[in-house]
Order: sequence, then C-alpha cells, then structure tokens
Amino acid sequence: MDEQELRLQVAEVAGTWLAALTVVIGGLFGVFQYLEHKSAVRVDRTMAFVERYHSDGLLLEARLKISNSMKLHVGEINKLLTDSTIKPELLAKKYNDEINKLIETDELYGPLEQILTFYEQIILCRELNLCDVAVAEQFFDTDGRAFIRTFYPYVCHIRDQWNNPAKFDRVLAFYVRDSNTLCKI
Amino acid sequence: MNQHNNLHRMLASTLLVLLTFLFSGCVSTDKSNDELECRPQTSEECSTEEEGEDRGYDPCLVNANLPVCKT
Repeated sequence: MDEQELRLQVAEVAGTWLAALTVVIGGLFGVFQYLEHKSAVRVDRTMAFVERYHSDGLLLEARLKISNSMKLHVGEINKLLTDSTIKPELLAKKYNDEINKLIETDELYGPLEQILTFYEQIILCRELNLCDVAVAEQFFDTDGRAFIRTFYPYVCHIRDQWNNPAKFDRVLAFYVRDSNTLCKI
Repeated sequence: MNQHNNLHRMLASTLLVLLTFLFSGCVSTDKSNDELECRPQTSEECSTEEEGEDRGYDPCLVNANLPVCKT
C-alpha cells in the first residue's frame, strides 16, 4: 500500500464517520424542531382560550352578569360567612342556600353554565395534552379555583335536580381535591 | 482515479443528507406568530372596566371553615 492509497483510505473512513455524524446531528435537530413546534402549537391553543375568555361576547356577558350580581350580594354572603352564631356544621348548608337563592334571584343559571363549561373545556384541553399546562395554570387556575369555591352550591343543586351526580365532575374534581363529599351535606 | 470519484460521490451524498435534514428542520417551525388582538366586532368590549371582574371573590378568604376550603 503506497502513500496515496493510504491517504485515500483514511479519507474514506473519515468521510463515512462524518456522514454518520451528520445523519445523527440532523436527526436530533429534526426531533428538537418537531418537539418545539408541538410545544408552540400547544401554547397557541391555550392563548386562543385566553382570547375567548377576554373577548368572546357570550362569555364576557356571562362574566359581567355574575360580577354585577356578586357586587350586589357580597355583603350578605360575607355577613353569613362571618356570623359567629352559626354552628360550623350548619355553615355549609346555609352558604349553599344563600348562593342558590342569589342564583335564582338574579337568574344566573345561563351565565354559570357558560363559565363552568368554559372551565371544563380548558381542563379537558390540558388533560388531553392539547394545551400548555403551565400557560393555562397561570391564566385560569386562580380565577377557576375561586369561581368553583364560590359557586359549587350551584353544581350540587343541578346534580340533585337533574339526578346526575357526574354533572360538571371534571371541573369540580380538578379544583377541589375531595369533591365526592362536597355535595353530601 | 476511481477512488477519487467514490470519495466525491460520498461527500456529495453526505452534503445532500445534511441539507435535507437542515431544510426539513427549518420548515417544521410554525410561522404563525400573529399578535392577539381584539376582533373588530368586539373591540369595544376589551376595556378593563368591562372585563367582568368576577375573579376576585373567594369565600375561603372570608371563612376557611367551609367544606370546600378544607378539601
């Protein structure tokens, strides 16, 4: 084997390794780009929910109606919650009655259905891994948890009325850890 | 001479593979990066005053003895 042949053989080996390395790097780059693309799509889907939450006519109308009702009745609710004469075991029932009375007086059934359905949709989107969990958490979880804590008596009421114990189960179970016992008072 | 041709062919193939991967990687990123903005028909509903601030109230901040606060 003369020097020329040796150099060619070295070049051939080096070229083969270079090709293999290129394929691996290219493959990794492709995978990385694909994952990044999937992540960006999930964020876009979540932001579409945020946009709906802040600009969808029906949702906004529902939120305004609930907000106005709460402004009117928050004093009565707070009075009930801070009433030291109410026994702790009766507090939940009295709170349920107060909230359901408020809902009936101000006709909040429709708006509550709208908002609860919206929260169920975003939770479903997260559970199916179609939406970005971190983004959805930042935008919706504080509002969602407070909303469910305030209006869970409506869910209990509608479950009882429709004889459907699974109604809004996804949203209730998501925000309340032991949601099974919540309506059993 | 024959070996030179083989080497050139192999390098050309390598370059082709590399370019293919780079190209497929580049086009896989979504270009839709539109800024979110109010749609014209609902633009009047985007002011902060009308956003429906129902988010603030949480009965657990008033009385943590409610069953919903303990679970």
